[in-house]
Amino acid sequence: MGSYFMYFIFFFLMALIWVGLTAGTYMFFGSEYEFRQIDANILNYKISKCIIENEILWKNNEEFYDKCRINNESILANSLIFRICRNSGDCIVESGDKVLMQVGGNFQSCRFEGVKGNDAFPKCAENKFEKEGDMYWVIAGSNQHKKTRSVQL
Amino acid sequence: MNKRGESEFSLLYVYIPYLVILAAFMILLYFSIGHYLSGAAVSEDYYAKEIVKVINLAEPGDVIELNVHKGTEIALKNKVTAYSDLFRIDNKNKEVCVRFFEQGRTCYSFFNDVFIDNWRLELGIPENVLYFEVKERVKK
Repeated sequence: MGSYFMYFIFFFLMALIWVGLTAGTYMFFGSEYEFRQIDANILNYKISKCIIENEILWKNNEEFYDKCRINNESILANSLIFRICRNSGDCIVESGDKVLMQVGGNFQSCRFEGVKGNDAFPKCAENKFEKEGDMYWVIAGSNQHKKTRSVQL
Repeated sequence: MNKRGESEFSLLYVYIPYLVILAAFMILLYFSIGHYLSGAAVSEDYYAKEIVKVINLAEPGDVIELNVHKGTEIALKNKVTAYSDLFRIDNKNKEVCVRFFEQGRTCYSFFNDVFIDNWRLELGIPENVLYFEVKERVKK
């Protein structure tokens, strides 16, 4: 009976050490290489460059994705967001005809000061430029995180 | 005659459960934090995202050669010797996956709608290089 109790004590100690080491390691190495701001900047750059270089009619989204060479499914699947406005006072809160295109929502969170260190909210990039007398405003954001996959040996 | 030997054996018998628990603990620890302690997790994350950055900014017609020598050294240190499996570019799911550890790989997605062709790891020219060609996506 006594030896069984000792096994239990030993197991408990090992479990305690395992929890401590794992928690410590995850706390130290757990945070990933911050890439969301770069993702958002590149998406914004690609959209802005595409609008400047191409004539987009904004009648259907397919035309935009084709001309800008952006993969729609990848945008939707990986928590990427963007909004394109024309002649808008503030694209973040704009609605109606001035919003040319939008994927995703909650663009207000791009401006919240309190969430800048919060991983649950996207990192955003904004860009304003003029083309043929129209003022374009592009907001792009990313909340994509790495995916860890196990390997079958 | 064998009294001493028998007592040593019975003493060992008492310790066997402890040794089993200890072995199980070590294996569990290896699987749960080995990926991080070897430095593979951080490197996989870094390489996957930097390759995605290059792909997202690439245009059809570009030929890319990236020096991944440091990453291959980390993989070798972690006993991943299948060089063809270190880097994977999945055109269907638009993903770059990097594997520097036996039990797992880290993936990150790109949104540039291009086709990555002829991707391969070229060894020793003079360092290890990831080579790929960026082509226009063939529409269905």
